[in-house]
Amino acid sequence: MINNLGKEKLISIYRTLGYKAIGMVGVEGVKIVENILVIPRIVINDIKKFKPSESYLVAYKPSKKEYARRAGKVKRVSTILFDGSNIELCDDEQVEVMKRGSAALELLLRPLLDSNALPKYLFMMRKCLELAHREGIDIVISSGARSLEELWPPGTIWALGSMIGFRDMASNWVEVLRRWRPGLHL
Amino acid sequence: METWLAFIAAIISLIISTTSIYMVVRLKGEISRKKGIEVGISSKSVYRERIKRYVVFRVVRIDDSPSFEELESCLKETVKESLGLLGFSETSIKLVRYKVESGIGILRIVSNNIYPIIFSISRLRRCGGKRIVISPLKITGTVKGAYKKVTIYESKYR
Repeated sequence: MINNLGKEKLISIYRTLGYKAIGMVGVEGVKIVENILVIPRIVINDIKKFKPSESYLVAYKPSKKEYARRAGKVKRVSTILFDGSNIELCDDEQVEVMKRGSAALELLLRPLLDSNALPKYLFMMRKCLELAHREGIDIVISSGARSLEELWPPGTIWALGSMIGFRDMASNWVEVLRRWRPGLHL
Repeated sequence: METWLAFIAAIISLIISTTSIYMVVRLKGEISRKKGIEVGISSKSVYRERIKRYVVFRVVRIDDSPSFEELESCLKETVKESLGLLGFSETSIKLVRYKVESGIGILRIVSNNIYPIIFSISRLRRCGGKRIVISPLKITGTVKGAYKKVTIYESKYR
Protein backbone atom coordinates (compact mmCIF):
# COMPACT_ATOMS: atom_id res chain seq x y z
CA MET A 1 0.00 0.00 0.00
CA ILE A 2 1.56 3.26 -1.07
CA ASN A 3 0.54 6.85 -0.88
CA ASN A 4 0.55 9.48 -3.60
CA LEU A 5 4.26 10.39 -3.56
CA GLY A 6 5.48 10.12 -7.18
CA LYS A 7 2.80 7.67 -8.30
CA GLU A 8 4.17 7.17 -11.81
CA LYS A 9 7.66 6.40 -10.57
CA LEU A 10 6.28 4.06 -7.92
CA ILE A 11 4.16 2.17 -10.45
CA SER A 12 7.12 1.86 -12.80
CA ILE A 13 9.27 0.41 -10.02
CA TYR A 14 6.49 -1.95 -8.98
CA ARG A 15 6.36 -3.18 -12.58
CA THR A 16 10.13 -3.64 -12.58
CA LEU A 17 9.87 -5.66 -9.39
CA GLY A 18 7.36 -7.97 -11.05
CA TYR A 19 4.03 -7.02 -9.45
CA LYS A 20 0.82 -7.36 -11.45
CA ALA A 21 -1.57 -5.69 -9.01
CA ILE A 22 -1.01 -3.13 -6.29
CA GLY A 23 -3.09 -1.34 -3.70
CA MET A 24 -2.65 2.41 -3.60
CA VAL A 25 -3.93 5.13 -1.33
CA GLY A 26 -5.10 8.33 -3.04
CA VAL A 27 -6.41 6.93 -6.32
CA GLU A 28 -9.99 6.84 -7.55
CA GLY A 29 -11.44 3.65 -8.98
CA VAL A 30 -9.83 0.46 -10.20
CA LYS A 31 -7.58 1.11 -13.21
CA ILE A 32 -4.78 -0.41 -15.20
CA VAL A 33 -1.59 1.66 -15.41
CA GLU A 34 1.43 0.29 -17.30
CA ASN A 35 -0.10 -3.22 -17.24
CA ILE A 36 -0.51 -3.04 -13.46
CA LEU A 37 -3.90 -3.29 -11.86
CA VAL A 38 -4.16 -0.40 -9.41
CA ILE A 39 -6.67 -0.90 -6.62
CA PRO A 40 -7.82 2.12 -4.61
CA ARG A 41 -7.24 1.70 -0.93
CA ILE A 42 -8.12 3.60 2.18
CA VAL A 43 -6.91 3.17 5.75
CA ILE A 44 -9.31 4.18 8.48
CA ASN A 45 -8.29 4.79 12.05
CA ASP A 46 -11.55 6.03 13.50
CA ILE A 47 -14.44 3.69 12.92
CA LYS A 48 -17.01 6.36 13.89
CA LYS A 49 -16.04 8.60 10.98
CA PHE A 50 -16.06 5.79 8.45
CA LYS A 51 -18.79 5.68 5.87
CA PRO A 52 -18.97 2.26 4.21
CA SER A 53 -17.96 2.53 0.55
CA GLU A 54 -17.53 -0.09 -2.13
CA SER A 55 -15.18 2.00 -4.20
CA TYR A 56 -12.21 1.43 -1.90
CA LEU A 57 -10.56 -1.64 -0.48
CA VAL A 58 -10.78 -0.65 3.14
CA ALA A 59 -8.20 -1.43 5.78
CA TYR A 60 -9.05 -0.71 9.39
CA LYS A 61 -6.13 0.09 11.65
CA PRO A 62 -7.26 -0.04 15.27
CA SER A 63 -5.31 2.10 17.68
CA LYS A 64 -6.77 0.82 20.95
CA LYS A 65 -7.78 -2.56 22.28
CA GLU A 66 -11.49 -1.72 22.52
CA TYR A 67 -11.54 -0.50 18.90
CA ALA A 68 -9.68 -3.60 17.75
CA ARG A 69 -12.18 -5.88 19.47
CA ARG A 70 -15.04 -4.22 17.59
CA ALA A 71 -13.29 -4.70 14.26
CA GLY A 72 -15.03 -7.97 13.46
CA LYS A 73 -18.41 -6.23 13.48
CA VAL A 74 -17.51 -3.38 11.10
CA LYS A 75 -19.09 -3.83 7.68
CA ARG A 76 -17.27 -3.43 4.37
CA VAL A 77 -13.84 -3.59 5.93
CA SER A 78 -11.63 -5.97 3.95
CA THR A 79 -8.63 -6.15 6.24
CA ILE A 80 -7.69 -5.36 9.81
CA LEU A 81 -4.28 -3.77 9.62
CA PHE A 82 -1.46 -4.16 12.11
CA ASP A 83 1.92 -2.46 11.98
CA GLY A 84 4.64 -1.51 14.42
CA SER A 85 2.35 0.78 16.39
CA ASN A 86 -0.48 -1.69 17.09
CA ILE A 87 0.91 -5.22 16.54
CA GLU A 88 0.61 -5.83 20.28
CA LEU A 89 -3.17 -5.80 19.90
CA CYS A 90 -3.01 -8.97 17.84
CA ASP A 91 -3.55 -11.63 20.50
CA ASP A 92 -5.77 -14.66 21.16
CA GLU A 93 -8.83 -12.57 21.92
CA GLN A 94 -8.39 -10.41 18.81
CA VAL A 95 -8.04 -13.44 16.56
CA GLU A 96 -11.14 -14.96 18.16
CA VAL A 97 -13.09 -11.76 17.36
CA MET A 98 -11.79 -11.68 13.79
CA LYS A 99 -12.78 -15.29 13.27
CA ARG A 100 -16.44 -14.24 13.55
CA GLY A 101 -16.08 -11.65 10.76
CA SER A 102 -14.83 -11.91 7.19
CA ALA A 103 -11.97 -9.42 7.35
CA ALA A 104 -8.46 -10.67 6.68
CA LEU A 105 -5.44 -9.99 8.83
CA GLU A 106 -3.08 -7.53 7.15
CA LEU A 107 0.46 -7.09 8.36
CA LEU A 108 2.83 -4.40 7.14
CA LEU A 109 6.46 -5.07 6.28
CA ARG A 110 7.62 -1.50 6.77
CA PRO A 111 8.79 -1.97 10.40
CA LEU A 112 11.13 -4.74 9.22
CA LEU A 113 13.31 -2.13 7.52
CA ASP A 114 14.05 -0.52 10.86
CA SER A 115 16.85 -2.48 12.52
CA ASN A 116 15.77 -1.35 15.99
CA ALA A 117 12.13 -2.34 15.51
CA LEU A 118 12.80 -5.57 13.58
CA PRO A 119 13.45 -8.09 16.41
CA LYS A 120 10.33 -7.26 18.40
CA TYR A 121 8.11 -6.79 15.34
CA LEU A 122 9.23 -10.07 13.76
CA PHE A 123 8.54 -11.91 17.02
CA MET A 124 5.09 -10.33 17.38
CA MET A 125 4.36 -10.85 13.71
CA ARG A 126 5.16 -14.55 13.89
CA LYS A 127 3.01 -14.94 17.00
CA CYS A 128 0.11 -13.12 15.35
CA LEU A 129 0.45 -15.19 12.17
CA GLU A 130 0.46 -18.45 14.12
CA LEU A 131 -2.72 -17.47 15.96
CA ALA A 132 -4.48 -16.38 12.78
CA HIS A 133 -3.37 -19.47 10.87
CA ARG A 134 -4.65 -21.72 13.66
CA GLU A 135 -8.08 -20.08 13.50
CA GLY A 136 -8.21 -20.14 9.68
CA ILE A 137 -8.14 -16.36 9.16
CA ASP A 138 -6.81 -15.12 5.80
CA ILE A 139 -3.39 -13.55 6.20
CA VAL A 140 -2.16 -10.87 3.82
CA ILE A 141 1.12 -9.00 3.74
CA SER A 142 1.69 -5.54 2.35
CA SER A 143 4.67 -3.22 2.16
CA GLY A 144 3.03 -0.14 3.68
CA ALA A 145 5.53 1.86 1.62
CA ARG A 146 5.51 5.63 1.90
CA SER A 147 8.58 6.10 -0.26
CA LEU A 148 10.45 4.27 -3.01
CA GLU A 149 12.90 2.81 -0.55
CA GLU A 150 10.17 1.10 1.39
CA LEU A 151 9.04 -1.12 -1.47
CA TRP A 152 9.42 -4.86 -1.06
CA PRO A 153 10.01 -7.25 -3.96
CA PRO A 154 7.78 -10.37 -4.20
CA GLY A 155 10.80 -12.68 -3.78
CA THR A 156 11.48 -11.17 -0.36
CA ILE A 157 7.94 -11.76 0.81
CA TRP A 158 8.31 -15.38 -0.27
CA ALA A 159 11.68 -15.63 1.56
CA LEU A 160 10.12 -14.11 4.68
CA GLY A 161 7.21 -16.56 4.46
CA SER A 162 9.64 -19.48 4.14
CA MET A 163 11.68 -18.17 7.04
CA ILE A 164 8.76 -17.94 9.43
CA GLY A 165 6.85 -20.91 8.05
CA PHE A 166 3.99 -19.25 6.11
CA ARG A 167 4.72 -19.67 2.43
CA ASP A 168 1.21 -19.00 1.09
CA MET A 169 0.81 -15.50 2.54
CA ALA A 170 1.07 -13.73 -0.83
CA SER A 171 -1.67 -15.74 -2.56
CA ASN A 172 -4.33 -14.75 0.00
CA TRP A 173 -4.64 -11.28 -1.56
CA VAL A 174 -6.51 -12.83 -4.48
CA GLU A 175 -9.14 -14.19 -2.09
CA VAL A 176 -9.52 -10.82 -0.37
CA LEU A 177 -9.90 -9.01 -3.70
CA ARG A 178 -12.44 -11.53 -4.99
CA ARG A 179 -14.47 -11.08 -1.82
CA TRP A 180 -14.30 -7.29 -2.19
CA ARG A 181 -15.23 -7.22 -5.87
CA PRO A 182 -16.29 -10.62 -7.26
CA GLY A 183 -16.24 -9.47 -10.91
CA LEU A 184 -12.63 -8.25 -10.76
CA HIS A 185 -10.46 -9.91 -13.38
CA LEU A 186 -7.31 -11.16 -11.68
CA MET B 1 13.40 -93.45 37.66
CA GLU B 2 16.79 -91.70 37.67
CA THR B 3 16.88 -91.66 33.87
CA TRP B 4 13.45 -90.07 33.81
CA LEU B 5 14.52 -87.38 36.27
CA ALA B 6 17.72 -86.74 34.32
CA PHE B 7 15.63 -86.35 31.14
CA ILE B 8 13.31 -83.76 32.80
CA ALA B 9 16.33 -81.89 34.21
CA ALA B 10 17.92 -81.83 30.77
CA ILE B 11 14.72 -80.44 29.19
CA ILE B 12 14.38 -77.76 31.91
CA SER B 13 17.99 -76.69 31.49
CA LEU B 14 17.49 -76.58 27.70
CA ILE B 15 14.43 -74.35 28.11
CA ILE B 16 16.25 -72.06 30.54
CA SER B 17 19.28 -71.73 28.30
CA THR B 18 17.11 -71.07 25.18
CA THR B 19 15.10 -68.43 27.06
CA SER B 20 18.23 -66.74 28.37
CA ILE B 21 19.79 -66.71 24.88
CA TYR B 22 16.55 -65.22 23.49
CA MET B 23 16.48 -62.57 26.23
CA VAL B 24 20.13 -61.63 25.67
CA VAL B 25 19.56 -61.27 21.90
CA ARG B 26 16.39 -59.23 22.43
CA LEU B 27 18.03 -56.96 25.00
CA LYS B 28 21.02 -56.38 22.75
CA GLY B 29 18.69 -55.44 19.89
CA GLU B 30 16.79 -52.97 22.09
CA ILE B 31 20.00 -51.34 23.32
CA SER B 32 21.44 -50.92 19.82
CA ARG B 33 18.10 -49.49 18.54
CA LYS B 34 18.00 -46.93 21.38
CA LYS B 35 21.60 -45.98 20.72
CA GLY B 36 20.74 -45.45 17.07
CA ILE B 37 17.86 -43.13 17.94
CA GLU B 38 20.02 -41.18 20.38
CA VAL B 39 22.78 -40.78 17.79
CA GLY B 40 20.18 -39.70 15.21
CA ILE B 41 18.68 -37.07 17.51
CA SER B 42 22.02 -35.69 18.66
CA SER B 43 23.43 -35.49 15.13
CA LYS B 44 20.31 -33.69 13.93
CA SER B 45 20.33 -31.18 16.75
CA VAL B 46 24.05 -30.50 16.68
CA TYR B 47 24.75 -30.52 12.97
CA ARG B 48 22.56 -29.58 10.07
CA GLU B 49 24.12 -29.99 6.70
CA ARG B 50 25.30 -26.75 5.12
CA ILE B 51 24.21 -26.51 1.53
CA LYS B 52 25.59 -24.37 -1.28
CA ARG B 53 23.02 -22.29 -3.12
CA TYR B 54 23.24 -19.59 -5.76
CA VAL B 55 20.75 -16.75 -5.57
CA VAL B 56 20.07 -14.87 -8.79
CA PHE B 57 18.98 -11.35 -7.90
CA ARG B 58 18.30 -8.03 -9.51
CA VAL B 59 19.32 -4.66 -8.18
CA VAL B 60 16.51 -2.23 -8.91
CA ARG B 61 18.17 1.16 -8.80
CA ILE B 62 16.18 4.13 -7.63
CA ASP B 63 18.81 6.73 -8.55
CA ASP B 64 22.21 5.13 -9.27
CA SER B 65 23.80 1.65 -9.23
CA PRO B 66 26.55 0.57 -6.85
CA SER B 67 29.76 -0.98 -8.16
CA PHE B 68 30.66 -4.67 -7.73
CA GLU B 69 32.93 -3.98 -4.76
CA GLU B 70 30.43 -1.62 -3.11
CA LEU B 71 27.62 -4.15 -3.48
CA GLU B 72 29.64 -7.07 -2.14
CA SER B 73 30.71 -5.05 0.88
CA CYS B 74 27.12 -3.86 1.49
CA LEU B 75 25.70 -7.38 1.21
CA LYS B 76 28.23 -8.72 3.70
CA GLU B 77 27.58 -5.84 6.08
CA THR B 78 23.81 -6.25 5.98
CA VAL B 79 24.03 -10.02 6.57
CA LYS B 80 26.46 -9.38 9.42
CA GLU B 81 24.05 -6.87 10.93
CA SER B 82 21.04 -9.18 10.61
CA LEU B 83 22.58 -12.48 11.67
CA GLY B 84 25.33 -11.25 13.95
CA LEU B 85 29.02 -12.13 13.72
CA LEU B 86 28.55 -15.80 14.60
CA GLY B 87 25.70 -16.23 12.14
CA PHE B 88 27.71 -14.45 9.46
CA SER B 89 30.68 -16.76 10.01
CA GLU B 90 28.41 -19.71 9.13
CA THR B 91 27.16 -18.27 5.86
CA SER B 92 30.17 -17.96 3.51
CA ILE B 93 28.47 -15.53 1.17
CA LYS B 94 30.24 -14.38 -1.97
CA LEU B 95 29.16 -12.16 -4.81
CA VAL B 96 29.96 -14.34 -7.81
CA ARG B 97 28.77 -12.02 -10.54
CA TYR B 98 27.15 -8.61 -10.89
CA LYS B 99 26.73 -6.38 -13.91
CA VAL B 100 25.96 -2.74 -13.24
CA GLU B 101 24.19 -2.28 -16.62
CA SER B 102 21.54 -4.97 -16.14
CA GLY B 103 21.62 -5.08 -12.35
CA ILE B 104 21.51 -8.89 -12.44
CA GLY B 105 23.85 -10.69 -10.07
CA ILE B 106 24.62 -14.06 -8.51
CA LEU B 107 25.26 -14.49 -4.81
CA ARG B 108 26.71 -17.72 -3.45
CA ILE B 109 25.43 -18.79 -0.03
CA VAL B 110 26.72 -21.76 1.93
CA SER B 111 24.42 -22.23 4.88
CA ASN B 112 22.05 -24.60 6.63
CA ASN B 113 19.22 -22.06 6.33
CA ILE B 114 19.30 -19.73 3.34
CA TYR B 115 16.01 -17.88 3.87
CA PRO B 116 17.14 -15.52 6.66
CA ILE B 117 20.11 -14.59 4.46
CA ILE B 118 17.91 -13.89 1.43
CA PHE B 119 15.59 -11.86 3.62
CA SER B 120 18.44 -9.89 5.13
CA ILE B 121 19.98 -9.00 1.74
CA SER B 122 16.53 -7.87 0.59
CA ARG B 123 16.44 -5.40 3.46
CA LEU B 124 19.33 -3.53 1.93
CA ARG B 125 18.10 -0.14 0.74
CA ARG B 126 21.20 2.01 0.62
CA CYS B 127 24.62 1.04 -0.70
CA GLY B 128 27.45 3.52 -1.11
CA GLY B 129 24.97 6.37 -0.76
CA LYS B 130 22.83 4.97 -3.60
CA ARG B 131 19.22 3.99 -3.10
CA ILE B 132 18.51 0.44 -4.28
CA VAL B 133 16.01 -2.40 -3.86
CA ILE B 134 17.32 -5.95 -4.18
CA SER B 135 14.86 -8.40 -5.68
CA PRO B 136 15.69 -12.13 -5.33
CA LEU B 137 14.65 -13.87 -8.55
CA LYS B 138 15.75 -17.51 -8.40
CA ILE B 139 17.61 -19.97 -6.21
CA THR B 140 19.70 -22.64 -7.94
CA GLY B 141 21.93 -25.45 -6.74
CA THR B 142 24.70 -24.99 -9.30
CA VAL B 143 26.58 -22.02 -10.65
CA LYS B 144 25.88 -23.28 -14.18
CA GLY B 145 22.14 -23.17 -13.51
CA ALA B 146 22.50 -19.68 -12.07
CA TYR B 147 24.31 -18.42 -15.19
CA LYS B 148 21.55 -19.93 -17.36
CA LYS B 149 18.96 -17.98 -15.40
CA VAL B 150 21.07 -14.83 -15.65
CA THR B 151 21.06 -15.13 -19.45
CA ILE B 152 17.27 -15.49 -19.45
CA TYR B 153 16.74 -12.53 -17.10
CA GLU B 154 19.21 -10.31 -18.94
CA SER B 155 17.37 -10.82 -22.21
CA LYS B 156 14.06 -10.23 -20.40
CA TYR B 157 15.05 -7.03 -18.62
CA ARG B 158 17.14 -5.48 -21.41
